[in-house]
Amino acid sequence: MNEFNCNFHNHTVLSPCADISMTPDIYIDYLSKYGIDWIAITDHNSSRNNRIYMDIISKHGIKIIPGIEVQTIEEIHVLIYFKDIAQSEHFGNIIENNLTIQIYDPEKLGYQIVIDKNGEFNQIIESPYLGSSSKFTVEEVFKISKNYESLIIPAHIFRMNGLIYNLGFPPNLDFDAVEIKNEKELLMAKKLGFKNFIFGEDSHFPEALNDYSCKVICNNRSFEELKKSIKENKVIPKWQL
Amino acid sequence: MILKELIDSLKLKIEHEGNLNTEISEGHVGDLLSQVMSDAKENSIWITCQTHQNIIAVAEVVGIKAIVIPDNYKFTEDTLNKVKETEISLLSSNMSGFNTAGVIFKTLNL
Repeated sequence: MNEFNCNFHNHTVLSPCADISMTPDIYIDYLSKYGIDWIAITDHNSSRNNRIYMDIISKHGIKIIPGIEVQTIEEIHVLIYFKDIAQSEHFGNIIENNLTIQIYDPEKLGYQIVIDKNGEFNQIIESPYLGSSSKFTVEEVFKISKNYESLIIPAHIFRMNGLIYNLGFPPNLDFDAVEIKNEKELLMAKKLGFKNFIFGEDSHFPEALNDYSCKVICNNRSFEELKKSIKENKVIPKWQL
Repeated sequence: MILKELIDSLKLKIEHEGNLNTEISEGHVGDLLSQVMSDAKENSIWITCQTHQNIIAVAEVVGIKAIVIPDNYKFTEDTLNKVKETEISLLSSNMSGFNTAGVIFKTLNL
């Protein structure tokens, strides 16, 4: 068994609300410096930067799970992790094509930047607004995600744009886990019947990359092992270590 | 109608004073921020139970001039700090959201 230092909720320069310094270079700097070796990339409603971040960052011994943070029509944020990059891109396209706000002002709401293979700014996405909601309900997003080899995990469930914050109580969906932030939330989530958890930083700024949020005890850093670790509660939050 | 007149006639409580001399010509009710962003009109007064500081950014983007929170709910500290950078006014009403919207609609003659 191995122990990996992880963060499974991270934004890149593509997310309009993320800092424009969240480039692959900054990821490498921070993650290497702080010994974080397994992360997920989860931009808002798009997977366009997944491939390039995976290519560049994985050269430094850091393993990346391609993911996305979808906003449902109820404004609930849901993390989805994919077995491979192709599936994440396919799913990401569907979400991007079904967003509710097309025109937006990047001066006010932030730039959406795609990175090229050299790690440089390549293109600014002017439409759609990736910070908007998709047209899908949480049930529909759940159903669509099941067409892929994926894990579906509502993000920060007790906070703004969280499953419980927005809906009051859990819908009848068999999520793979829920993301929570501290021991108090863990107890609250268990009371609601949730049994599996992940613990993310939801990093939008480089400073949020300077520590792992959980350790995972498993054989290797594969999608299957992550799935198994979540199921067997081998994802241990930092505050329990 | 000038915001100040509307506040006086409805006896709304001022939680943060922005530009009270601004003209209000529309109203909007909603708690889902992305929906407010796409549907609300400029120069609106907005009734919402959503208290998160993101309401300030949404109001700025849309051009909403005042936000009313009904049922004597409270804006968060973050929201009260964030609004200081803007000309937006934050108001509270002791009426329900339904009644608040009703009297505002009537008063604005919409």
